Amino acid sequence: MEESKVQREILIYFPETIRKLFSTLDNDRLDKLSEIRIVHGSPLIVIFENQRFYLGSCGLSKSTNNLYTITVDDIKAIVELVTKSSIYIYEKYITKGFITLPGGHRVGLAGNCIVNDDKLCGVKEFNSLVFRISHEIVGASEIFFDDIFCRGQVKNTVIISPPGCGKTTVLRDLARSFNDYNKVKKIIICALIDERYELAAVYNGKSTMDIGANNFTISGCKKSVAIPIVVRSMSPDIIIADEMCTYDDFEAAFFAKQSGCKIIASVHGLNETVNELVNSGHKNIFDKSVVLSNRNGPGTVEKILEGSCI
Amino acid sequence: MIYIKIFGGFLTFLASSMLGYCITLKSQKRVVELENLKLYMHVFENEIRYNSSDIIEATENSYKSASEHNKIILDLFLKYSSDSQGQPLSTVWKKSVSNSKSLLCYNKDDIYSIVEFGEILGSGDAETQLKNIDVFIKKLSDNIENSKLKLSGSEKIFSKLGIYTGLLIVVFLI
Repeated sequence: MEESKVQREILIYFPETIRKLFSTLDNDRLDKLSEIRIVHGSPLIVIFENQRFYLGSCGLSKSTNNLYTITVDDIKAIVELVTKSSIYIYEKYITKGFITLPGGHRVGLAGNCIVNDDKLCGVKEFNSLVFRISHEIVGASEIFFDDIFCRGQVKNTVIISPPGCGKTTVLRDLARSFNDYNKVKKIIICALIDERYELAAVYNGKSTMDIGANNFTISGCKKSVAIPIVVRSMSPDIIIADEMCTYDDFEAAFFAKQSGCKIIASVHGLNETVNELVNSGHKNIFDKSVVLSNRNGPGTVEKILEGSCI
Repeated sequence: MIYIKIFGGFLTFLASSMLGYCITLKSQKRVVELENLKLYMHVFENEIRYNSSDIIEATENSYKSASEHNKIILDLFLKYSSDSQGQPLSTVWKKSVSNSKSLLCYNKDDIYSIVEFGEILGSGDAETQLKNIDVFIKKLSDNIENSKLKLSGSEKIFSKLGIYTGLLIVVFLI
């Protein structure tokens, strides 16, 4: 039987004691997994379509009775496998609290922090891990594509939502859509600024996600640094950046806009904080705002607004 | 009858001389392989220092620069690590060295140093990895130096001992 994507890309990081729990789920179920939570002393928690279940040797359960509980050795083994037994390579990612796996999946890590002069230097004795599984959804941006691409012109757009609502998936789909000649009737080149290896998830120099044939990626670099480099050296038509959050990020976006590039970015935020987020010192960079939520699943478009104001 | 005795005596003399010569050869081979191992460790170190490779990737990328003799350990290491089930690399390394030591020309001290090198393989930060490699290279250098000194003296002794022992046995038998 053909292996599911989760078996090929996620379960390889689990020791046998945990991997065999997933054998109770069929491939269709596995492919709908969005999150796996591993907490020391607790049973395994899996999340499908916003619903949480415990996973035991008998399958999914809402009760913790007689379920396998995660041990310290399980967590150590997973960390060894995720870091390929070379934790020194992932130092900077661990201090940010996550590691990105090939395929764009993300592993969040929690443990005892090592702090020096109020600066986080490392994390040890991990006690909890969260695997966030990325899914490519073709057509995720279809519903609002015509609002941001109109008469051959791309509008500077900001996509706003809380975590887990599909911002990255939508951005990726936009990148693909701009490469669809039948749709846009011209050749458009996008630069993806993939600071955390989630948009394109480049691995060994090759994008593991479909980001469109004409597009290119700058990975592992801060947006505030990468955007000016890309504008000066690569002359893209559109810059696509995920999770803009610092003043420097928005300064760089403004620079890109002034230089003639279009900018499409995502920011974390709820409805109430959108105005504050997007307007604070951002010099009206964006022409359109798209607000997403999880109401009918990730990628639910709540509002499409002119400018960056509510 | 006398010809058989002479022929037997000649064979005994030859065997004894060869034995002395083989002991010298083994010591020489050990020195050569230690030098090959040192060279391999330099390449391995470069992989980590300049390419930020993980341990397995660094081992694979520097594999070509290892001698056939040292590849015995590396082959086992790569094989066991691919199915480690999350075991620390130090455990995998130790297992690889234990299972290959009978095929290696290294002595107990060399094997101990090689196992000790694997103790913090993969754990700690990049600086720790590089320091660990430097310490191991230094130990290899010391072992090579000491072995060369011993070899220069013992080489002649063993080869002559073989010849003289052979002659003695022949004389005794005749």
